[in-house]
This record gives sequence, C-alpha cells and structure tokens, in this order.
Amino acid sequence: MCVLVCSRERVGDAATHLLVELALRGEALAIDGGNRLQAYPLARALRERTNRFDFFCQRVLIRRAFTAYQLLALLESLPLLTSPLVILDPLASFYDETLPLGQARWLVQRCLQEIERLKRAAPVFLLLRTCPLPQRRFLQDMVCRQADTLFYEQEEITSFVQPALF
Amino acid sequence: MARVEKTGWLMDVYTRPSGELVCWLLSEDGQRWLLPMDFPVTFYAAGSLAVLRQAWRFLRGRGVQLSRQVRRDLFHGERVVLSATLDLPGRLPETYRRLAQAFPALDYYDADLPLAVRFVAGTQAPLLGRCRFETDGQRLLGLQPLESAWEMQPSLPPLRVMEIECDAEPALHPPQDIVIRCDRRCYRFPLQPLRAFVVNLQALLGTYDPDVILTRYGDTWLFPFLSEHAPSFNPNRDEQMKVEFRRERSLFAYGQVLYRGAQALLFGRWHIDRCNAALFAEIGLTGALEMARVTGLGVQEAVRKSPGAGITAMQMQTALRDGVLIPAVKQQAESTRTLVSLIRYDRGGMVYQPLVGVHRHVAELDFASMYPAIMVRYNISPETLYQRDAPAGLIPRTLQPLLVKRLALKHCLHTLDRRDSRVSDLKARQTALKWLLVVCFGYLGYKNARFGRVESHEAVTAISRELLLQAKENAEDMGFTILHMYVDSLFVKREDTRTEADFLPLAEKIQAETGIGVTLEGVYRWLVFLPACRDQRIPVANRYFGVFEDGTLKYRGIALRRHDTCPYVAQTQLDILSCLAQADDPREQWKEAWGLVNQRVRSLQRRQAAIEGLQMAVKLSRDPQAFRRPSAAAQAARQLQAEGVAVRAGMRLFFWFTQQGVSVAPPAAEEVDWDHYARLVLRAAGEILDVLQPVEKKQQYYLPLLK
Amino acid sequence: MGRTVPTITRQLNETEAMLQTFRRTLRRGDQALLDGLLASAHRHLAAISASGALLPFEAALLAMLLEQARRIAALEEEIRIFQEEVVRLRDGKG
Repeated sequence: MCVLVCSRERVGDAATHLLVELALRGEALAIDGGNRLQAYPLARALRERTNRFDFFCQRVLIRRAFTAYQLLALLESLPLLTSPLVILDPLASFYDETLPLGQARWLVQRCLQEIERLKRAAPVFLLLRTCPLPQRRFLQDMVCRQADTLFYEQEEITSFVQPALF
Repeated sequence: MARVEKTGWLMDVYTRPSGELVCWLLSEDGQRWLLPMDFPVTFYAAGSLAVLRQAWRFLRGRGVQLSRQVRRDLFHGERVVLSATLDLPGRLPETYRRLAQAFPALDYYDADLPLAVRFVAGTQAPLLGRCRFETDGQRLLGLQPLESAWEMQPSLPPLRVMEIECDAEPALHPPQDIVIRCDRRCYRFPLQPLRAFVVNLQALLGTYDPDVILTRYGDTWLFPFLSEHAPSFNPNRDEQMKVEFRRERSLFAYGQVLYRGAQALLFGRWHIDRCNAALFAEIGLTGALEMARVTGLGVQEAVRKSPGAGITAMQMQTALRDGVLIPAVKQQAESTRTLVSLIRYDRGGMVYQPLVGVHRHVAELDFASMYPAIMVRYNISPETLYQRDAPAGLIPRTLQPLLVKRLALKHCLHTLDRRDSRVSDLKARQTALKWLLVVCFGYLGYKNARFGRVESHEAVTAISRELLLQAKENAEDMGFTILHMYVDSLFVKREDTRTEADFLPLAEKIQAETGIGVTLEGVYRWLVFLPACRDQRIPVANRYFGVFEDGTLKYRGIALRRHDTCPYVAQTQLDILSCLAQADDPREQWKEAWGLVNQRVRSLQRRQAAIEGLQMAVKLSRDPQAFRRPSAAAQAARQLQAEGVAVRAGMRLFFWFTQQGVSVAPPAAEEVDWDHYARLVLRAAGEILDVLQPVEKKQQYYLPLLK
Repeated sequence: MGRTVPTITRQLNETEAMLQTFRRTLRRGDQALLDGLLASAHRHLAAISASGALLPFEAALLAMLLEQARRIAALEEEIRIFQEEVVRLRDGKG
C-alpha cells in the first residue's frame, strides 16, 4: 500500500496524474472518499496524452463514498481486483465531528483490514489530505503506520497578507 | 377515577426520566391531560451470527425481551435480525448506545427514531389529530384516531398562547423588562429583582395555563438564564420534568455553514423561540401545526429542525408501517461507473440562459412541485432503481399524499378572494408543505439520508431535463420564443399573445405531454433579464425583475432579495421598481427612477437617513479566528467577542459601516460612513437601471459629500 | 452526496482563467474581441451541458461559432436591405 499525505487541494491533482498513468496502462478503480476527484481535469489530462481518449476514459472506474460507513461498505463489497485501486481522501468523512471518536477509530481499523485484503491482488494507493483537526490526527497516523511506502508532500507556504495600516 | 372516554386531540408524546411514555392530550371539554401509556419499542441488530449470539448474551437480563426474526432491509432484502424490545421507551437510547459501543460491527435498525414518529406509526393517530381516548385518570388506556394527517380541513385544538418578549437583544444589552401577553392582556415586569419576576411569571403560568409559549430569545437567553439564576422555577406543565436544554452548534451542510442556537424544550406545553425557529416567520403557528401533523415530529422539534428532518420522519413512518427496517446509519454505496458516465449523468436541473433585456407580455409557466411529482410519477426510489413495473417504492408512497394535499391547498387558495379570512391560514399550511416538498429531492441525494441513493437523485434530474426540453419543444411548435428556463419554470412570449387566456393552451399542452402539472404563474406586462455584473454581454440565470398585469412585482437575484442588503438600500431598490412599474415599458421611467436615486443619495449626504435602516446583516462563514483578512464580518465578530459575546460560524451578525470600519452598536451620525452607503445605493440602482439604458457618466448623478 | 461534478459555468470560468496568458499577449483590440467570443459561449451553457462533452470547451467553441454564424446572418440581412435601398434609389433617380 502506497500512501501520499499532502494538502487537501493537492489530493485531486495527484489523483489526476496517477489515474492518467494507470489508465494508459489498463483499468483503474478510483474510490473518492472526500469529493476530490477532478473529472474534467482528468479528461483533459488524458486528452493531452492520447487522441483515443474516449477509449481511455472508459478505463477509469469510479465509486464515491460520502460517509465513513459508506466507505467501509464499499471496501467490503469489492472482490479481489485485477487492476490498481486509488483511494482519494479516504479519511475526509472520518473528520466529521458528528462521528464519535471511538466509532471513527473502529471504522478506520476495519477499512485498513479490507485494504490489506485487497492489496494482496493489486496495488493500492491512498491519497490522504493532512488532518485538519488535532484531535483526529491519530486516524491519519493509523493509516500511515500501515503503509508499505509513505510520501509526505510539504504544504506550500501561503502568502502572508499584511493588515492595512490605516 | 372510573374509566372515562373522551374526544380531543393528541398534542405530543415524550418520555419521563423513568423511561415511561407520556401522552399530552387536550379534550374537547378544555381539559389538558398528561397520561402515561404502555408503549413497548423495538430495535434490531443484524450481522454475523456469532456476534449476534454475543449481543444476545450481552442484552440478557437487562430488561430487554429478545427474539430472532426475519425482517426486510430495503437494500439487502430479507435479513435475520436480533429483535430487542423494551417496555420503557425512554431506556432505548442508552441500551442502543451501549450495545453499539460493545458491538460496532453489527448493523442497527429502528434504533434512533424520534419517539413521536414511532408512536404515530404504531397507533395511526397523527399529532394534532382528533382522537378518542380512554383513561382512568392515571393512565391512557386506549387511543383511536378520528382524523388522518391528510385532512384538508383538520379540526383545530383550542390553544392558549402566551407571548414573552424582552426589551433588548440579550447578546448586546442585558434586558431590563419582560413583556408577557396572554388572552388579550399585557403585563410588563422588571427583570430585577429576579425573585419577584419569577413569582409573577409562575403566577401567570398558573392562571393562564398556556399550551404554547412564544418567545424571542427564549432558547438562547430567557430559559437558560432562569435555569441558572432561579433553578426552582419550572415552566413545564408536567412538573415531573425539567426543561430540556440542547447545546448550540455550527455545522457545514449544502455548501454553507449553518448555525443552530441552543434550545429549551418544555413538556406538557410547547416553547417556540421566534428567533431560533427557521421557518416560523414564514409559516407561523398554523404552519407549524401542519408540519407536525403530516411529519409526526413534535411541534417543538418541527419548528426548530430543518424541513429535511420532517421528510425523514415521514419516510420513517412509511417504513415502520410497511415493516421495512430503518438503518441507523447510511451504508448503501454507489455502484461502479466510468469517468464518462460520471461526467454525463452527474448534472443538475436544466438552466437555459435568458435573453438579456426588456421583454413585453411574457408568461411564466411553472411545473407544480416538479421533482416530487417526478419521483411519484416515475416511481423513483432507492429500491426501484433500474426496475421496470416495480411496485410503488417507499419514497413515492411517502410523497404521494403530501403532493396531493399541497396541490389541493394551493388550488383552494387560488379560488379564494385575497381578502378572505381563510387565506392566511391556508397559505401558512401550504407553505409548510411546500418546504417539505422542496427538500425531499435534496434528501434523496443527502449523504446521511437513510433512504437516499445518489443514482436516484441523478435519475430525477435527468428526467427533469428531458421534461423541460419537451416543454421547450411544445412552446416552439406553437410559435413561442423561449426567453429563459430555470429547472422547473419557463418564460415565453409570442407576438400576438398578451393575456392569461392566450397562454393557457400552451400550459395545457405541456401538461398533457409531460404528465406533470403546469401552472401559469402569471403574465408580465414587462420583464427584464439582467446580465452579469462583470460583463453586460453575459446572461445570468434566475436574475430578473418584472411587473405582472395586475401590478404585482416579482424579482429574483437582485440586492433586494439578498439577506446582506441593508433596509435603506433594499427599500430604494423596491421604490425604483415601483417607479418603473408605472409604465408599460420600464425604459420610459428611466429618468424618473434616477431622480429617485438622487433623492436617496442626497438624504444620505445630508445624514437624514434613519440609522436603523443602515444596519447590515451578514452570516459568519467561519469562526472569527479563521479569518485571514479583516473583512467587515470579521471586524464585527471580533467586536462582539471583545464584549464577551460568544460568536460562532453560521451566526448572523448585525453592524453599521463607520469611518473607522464597522460598529456593532448603533453609531452616532457623524461616525457613519455615509459615502459608503451612497455607493451601495448607486450600485443597487445601477444593477437595475444600467440594463435599461447604459449610463456613461454616472458621476453626474453622484453629488459630492458636503463638508 | 448528490452532485459532485462542477457546473459547466465553473468549468468555463476556469478555462477562461487558464487563457489569461494567451489573452494578455494579444493586442488590446484583439483582447476585446476575445472577451466577446468567450462571453458568447455563455449564452449556450444549457446546450454545452446537455452535450455531455468530456471536454466542455470543445462544445463551447461550437457555441462561439454559432454566435458568429448568427452575427454573420444578421449582417448579411442588413447588407441585403442596404443593397435593395441603393437599387431603389438608383432606379428612382434613373
């Protein structure tokens, strides 16, 4: 399992680049856990690489999960895959403050168990955004500890806005 | 007391600390009853048999009756479930919570339903509905409904209403006096000394024994204040109960931050805080009763929660009646699709850009409750997806009676004279039902909706786009020009067509072809579609103003409609529209309209405008510390925080623009930034008037500020 | 839940933003023409959306061509009217 931790905005960009490369080589399944998939930029990026891009667009399969429970149900429903799996922002709904911490922990554990099962058959890529809530940071750590390969992308320093003097 | 039979109304249900269910009834002889009733409740768990056996052992001996059953899950079909029944309904939440904590891998059903919804589904007796009940004075022994929730003219319980208001906004200034109105009498008491005030309030509660207490800031200030400083004061009719307080919260939903103030709920009577009840201003008590009647949510819940909670309650009722399990959490995941399919089908309603400019004799045709009507007519429900000739699904069966009732009320309103005394109540009821219908489509796609499914959501929008295209073709076949289409409405005109009667054949044709009801909203004497502010060549959907043949104005997407426009600017824009409406062509009134604008600007320059009219309102999009730039909202939030006011994302803040920035307290005349308000007036005027005739040198109308 | 793919309006606005360097390099007069072209596509957002194109800008280009065709047709009509007027005047004098 390969994990990339980056800013929220970069998850979509990283997924686009990765899915383009995978689609040019075969099918890929993208699970979008945080509404990060950029459908049009992905189509444009494929178009830049091939003029048979209708054909290659059909190779990108997508399933969306909008809650933590849905993500788990989705992973449980997957058979062993023959093509790579890319999961975008899987912890997004786990950061929802209406989800109790204990429940979030249990759900992450179960999701990781399912990912362990799936990665035996095909590569799995997780694109995580940096956890915005300190009290939920442990969820990100749980995922990172399970990674076979872990990348951290530095957050860009946003420009400082000087307050008006007058 | 011997067993007696009474006729009256079921007002509310709740549980006491002991867990027993209590029904609040109002009999026709005027007596109020608070009667416990036997009402066992059941929830279910499903999953691996080994874990279910462990759960069984966990629950044994905890006062729960256990059994093995087979029940229907809407998505998974028949499932073997562990059934857990409790005699005392109030104990279910804690039992469920402990079980779910110990066995998180199980799926839970019927575990977190509102009590009133369960009760209504179980007894078939709707809230606020007339019923016959038997009692021995201690307990409710029997209950038979005499009305359904769908009565067109439901009988109304004779409610006693008390209004309590404070003389200042508590967040800014501590109130000094409290005004209490009841039964056409008005009392004014100083808040201090508090003991005397509490004695007086308690006496009035005893004397008038109101069913409804309407307040301003009762949720966020009055009851919390009294609870803290006069803990022995109990405003409940049920003396065994304490006021139930719920914390304030901010939540992100539908692309915006929503703020819910703290809540104070009563038992045996209702408390409604006008400042904390989203729809109450629009639907009033009549509408709130209608909402409670059809949804099964208690009145206090119905006014405080969003209409989405109401639709969910209705779906739950349908599911309970049908024996369908109601999942505690949403698990149904989307099926696999390709990138191509996602781009092609994940779209909303059709929006047809308008033809910018002035148009004469334009008809607006609306599909009546288009999305709910599509869901009913085309049987769109999560379990009927991809199925031909499926039996009516849960969602259509829930919506059908709601749709029928709303259309019937709307039709009834159309037949009445505007001055008829029944109009305001009918309008309130119709509006309450309209809001339920408005949100039902959104809830089909809402992530937490128990019976939502994104594919169903997409099916509805796909059908709506097709129907609107059909309507467009029908209109063009009859020689009409399509000026604008917006999701469920279209604006058309034709050279020789002026009156409503001329447009009716088109409405009838569209209705016949699409199978969805179409109403003629009206014929505009003239209608103006506005361009984008950034580029006059770019049309903008749903942004227009016009006047109907009867002189009524209608406007969308302009400053007047926005919540963050101050009253002075809003009134100026409204007056401009009224000025334009005097002519058959608004361009004829262009000069007069600018004359009016000049007057308003002059009033500002002479500082003659009332300060109250300059108050701005803005919703805080994030917590104050999250702001990077010192926007007006951020400045206002920080000022309030400096005064000790708790400020959270989603709250509405009020302030004035001053020479120093902003002020949350009303400023003195010399502190107001009059130039800024003048610019706001000019911008609002230009929004409407620029399209009528471009003003090249607007400066000639902008008089310099007098020093 | 519900809709996650951005609206066509937003897509076009993003594409226009990407064209800013192209626009900036043009002469001032040509910039105004480009702005007009891009604005003309906005009149047909419904059709662009309904086309379901994977690259909406391709459909937007068709919308711009449509507006150009409309403008040409209007100009041709004006020229025809002027020509008829000229002929009428000439024949009246001759």
